[in-house]
Order: sequence, then C-alpha cells, then structure tokens
Amino acid sequence: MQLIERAGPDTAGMSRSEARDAEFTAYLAARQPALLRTAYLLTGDRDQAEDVLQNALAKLYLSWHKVRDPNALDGYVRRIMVNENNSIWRRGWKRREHATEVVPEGAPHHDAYDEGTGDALWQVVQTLPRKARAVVVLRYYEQLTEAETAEVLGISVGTVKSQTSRALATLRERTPAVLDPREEER
Amino acid sequence: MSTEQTLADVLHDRADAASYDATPMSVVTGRARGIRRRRRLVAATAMAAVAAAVVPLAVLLPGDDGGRGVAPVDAPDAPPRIGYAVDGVYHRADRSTIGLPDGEVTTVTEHEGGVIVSDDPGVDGPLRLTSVAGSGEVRDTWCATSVPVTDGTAVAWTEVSCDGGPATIVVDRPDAEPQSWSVPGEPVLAGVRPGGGVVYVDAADGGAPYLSDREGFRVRVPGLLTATTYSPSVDLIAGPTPDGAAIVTTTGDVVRLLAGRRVVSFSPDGARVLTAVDEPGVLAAGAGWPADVLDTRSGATLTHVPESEVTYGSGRWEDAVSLLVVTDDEGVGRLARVTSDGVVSLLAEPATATETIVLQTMP
Repeated sequence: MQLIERAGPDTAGMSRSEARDAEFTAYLAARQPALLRTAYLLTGDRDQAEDVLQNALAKLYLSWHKVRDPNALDGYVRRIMVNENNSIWRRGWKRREHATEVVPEGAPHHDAYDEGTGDALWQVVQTLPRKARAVVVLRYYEQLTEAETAEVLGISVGTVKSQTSRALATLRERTPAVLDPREEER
Repeated sequence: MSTEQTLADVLHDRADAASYDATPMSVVTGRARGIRRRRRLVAATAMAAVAAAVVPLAVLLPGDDGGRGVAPVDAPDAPPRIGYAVDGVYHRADRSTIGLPDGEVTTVTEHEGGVIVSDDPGVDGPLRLTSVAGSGEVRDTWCATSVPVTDGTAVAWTEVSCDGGPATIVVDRPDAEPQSWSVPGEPVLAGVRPGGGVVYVDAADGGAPYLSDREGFRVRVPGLLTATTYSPSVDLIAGPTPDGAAIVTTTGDVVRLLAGRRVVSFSPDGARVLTAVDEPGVLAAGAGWPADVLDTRSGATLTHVPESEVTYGSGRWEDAVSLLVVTDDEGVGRLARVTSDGVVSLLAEPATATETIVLQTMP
C-alpha cells in the first residue's frame, strides 16, 4: 500500500499517528484562515462557521489517509463543510442552541464591515437557499469552475448552472441598485 | 462592473471583514474522538458484527477442554489472548505481527494466515475491506456493506460494487471452497450459522433481521426489530423489541426479555451475554458505559462491569468468562481485562497508545 506523499514536515522516524498529526498540523496552520472565510460565507454566522469548520477538520483528520492528492484537501474540506452546514439546518436551529445558566463572558464580535450597498447584496445572499448559496460562494468567492463546483457539491454541472442562474436572477431582482443587469448586456 | 464581479467583490469584502478565532489542534482531535465514538456507537448498535464477541480459534477446535473455552487467564494483567491492531500493526495472540495498510482500521478479522481489515467509511465513502497476507502484502481490496464476521473457523463478508447494486455474501471455510450468493438489500452480517448460512440485518429494510441459507433463500426472524448480536454456539439472536431487548431463537421464540438493556455480545459458549444499560443519555454520552454480564437463560447478573472510560462496543470475550475492553482517556487508549468478579485490570501490553486499539473480531 502506498503511503501518502505530501509536501510538509519531515516525518521520517515518526510513527504513523505522529506523522499524521505533524502533517495535519501543518495543513491546519496553512489553510485554516482561508477555510474559515469560506465557512463564514456559507453560514453567515461567525460562531457557526467555526463550528462547521471544526467538524469538517475533525472528519478530515479521521480520513486524512484517504486523501492521496494534497491538492484535493481543500476541496474535500469544502464538501464536508457544505454537508455539515446543510446537516445543521436539517437538525433544526433549536438543537444547535444550548441554554446556559451563566451568561458567557467576553465582548461580542463586531465584524468590520460597512453597512453600504454591498451589505444589501450580502443580506440577499444570506437568504438564498443553502445549496444555491454554496454554489455562489464556490463559484464567485473560491473562483471554482462549474465542473469543480459540481465535484465539490456532488451535483451535476447542469445543476450548478441552473442554481447559479437562479441565484443571480434573485440577486439582481432584489438589489437592482447594486447589480444592474444592463451591465451584463453591454 | 459585471454582476459576477460585483458579487465576488462583496463576498471577498465580507469574508475579510469578519474576525475569527483559530481552532487549535487539540479541538480538532477532541471533536474527532467524539465523531469516532458516535460512529462506534452506531456501529455497535446497528451492526451486530461489530459488537459480536470473538472466540479464539482454539476455542472452537476439539481439545481437552471439550471446546468450552481456553483456560482462564493466569494473571489479571497477563498479555491479551486475542489479537489487536494499533498504530498500523496487527499483533496476533502469539505475539507475531502484521503490518497493516495505511488507513484507519475499524475491525480486524484473521483469515488465511493474514487478516481482513475494514476501513472507516468516512464522510461519504463506502465501507471498504482489505485482505492482507501475513507478510503485510495487500491481497485484495473491495467495497462491502458489512464488516466480516466469523464463527471461529469460517469467515463471512459481503462484496458490492463501489457504486452500489446487489450485494454478495461470501462464506469461506479453511477446508472448503468459498461459497457465495446474492441477497437483496444491504446486508449487514451478524454471524455465521452452523449450517453455513448467515444471520444478517438488512439496512435497506430498516435493519430487519434475516436468516439466509447458502442457496440465497432468506427468512425474516420474527419478533425482533433488528439484531445486535448472534451466538453460533447456541444459535440465539439478540436485539431490540418494542418491549426492550430480547434474546430469541431463530424462529422468534423469546428466551429472555431484558428491559432497559442493550445486548452487546454473547460469550463464546453462549452461556453469558454482555449487556449495556440502555437508558436515555447513558450511551449517548459516548465514552463510559455501565454494563453487566448476565446469564443468557436466567437473566441473572453474573458480573458487573464498573462504569469507567470503557469504550462502548469495544468488549470482546477473551475466553468464556474474561472480557477485554478498550479504555479511552482523552485519546489515550489502553487495553483492560474485566474478570468474572468484575475487577478491571489494565494490561501492560500494548503500551499507552495514542491511536485507537481495535480488538480482533471473533465469533
């Protein structure tokens, strides 16, 4: 059986589990910030994004040996994150909330984002169906091709096209001041 | 600016503006342990094969002890008398080893001088089995619907196209040609029957329990909602009913009702049964679980297994009265022995393991 070949820390002399942890730690340090941003766009909530990403990373950790192509790691995590995000919503919002007797300490997080026209578009993006939103994030934030997006989401290219088209139509309809369809026609 | 470009800019601005807390490695590994425990719980409750106790080969072979079982262990901390896999190496009971393929092993079953290991299906992938020779060479790998089971001599497994489709059950005995037949649904094996057939649950039929003979005819076992374990020694099946767990004959006659319990595995001779307390929240908690060894026929409690960090589903019968279990202390695994008087002794072997310890599958 071939061992995983990845660029990363020198794992010579380590046990298999030690080598996995070293490789995974290196991947975590390198890719976590970017993956958190994607998770945030998928969920629209900072805490939920961290929750989704942590679960996705845990599942990647358990399946680390299966991903033989290091270039496929991000795609694998994106797919898990999309599935996790959908699963959370299938489980229902109430089950994600945990009542506590003590109010947690710490200041609330405020995102440094202006409340301008871009915010209006972002608000509409958050109302898109979760699959359509995932398509939008992967296509226009991650800059994946239609085929790559289809592969990550496990759907057909045709579905990616139709979801994209519907999402853009919704965004244009609901934020005409931000997205002027006449620009498309020029 | 095009619609797409405007959208891309807004998404980038929004993603960059949010603040995030980095996730430390310890959080990832902690969540991984939780996921692994939940998978084990599901496997142990839905897949009889995973929870089935295993008999050392010698137990079922004719011998001075009449096949009732090997002699009890000499010392509580004596080396394990069944095999185990840890950190990519399978340690046979005779202390010889086999290097395993890369990957997370969830079960290991001795077969033809080597082993068949099952891989973790992961997020979306199908269950995969790999046959490994005693030299460590991979003999074959295939997709399956079930982990292998054994009655001590025969080993049974399933084969299915990795894209789905009908499954084939294969039963291989050392002294005969392998026999195989197709069955409908998604068979999850519970055990090999004395006549060469199998007991399985159909995952595509809500986990309904079935008997299947070597010609492929199947009969549903009445009474049980599903099967959690099977004893080839006494030909009894255990599983949940609307009134609690029950031990039944293959024709559905109830031998013993065990309300408030979940049956984990029969002892090699079928005289005892390992059960877990099945109360809301107890098993869902993940790690520690209170358990008892009961007399199969009378239901009397023979041994109380102290609540500890014993991983649910890890119990394997080492002989007729002694259980081996895997403890899990925040990711540090140890093998422990539970004797007939309920004493738990940590074994010196293996040394403290950061990886999961998987005990050999036996009957």
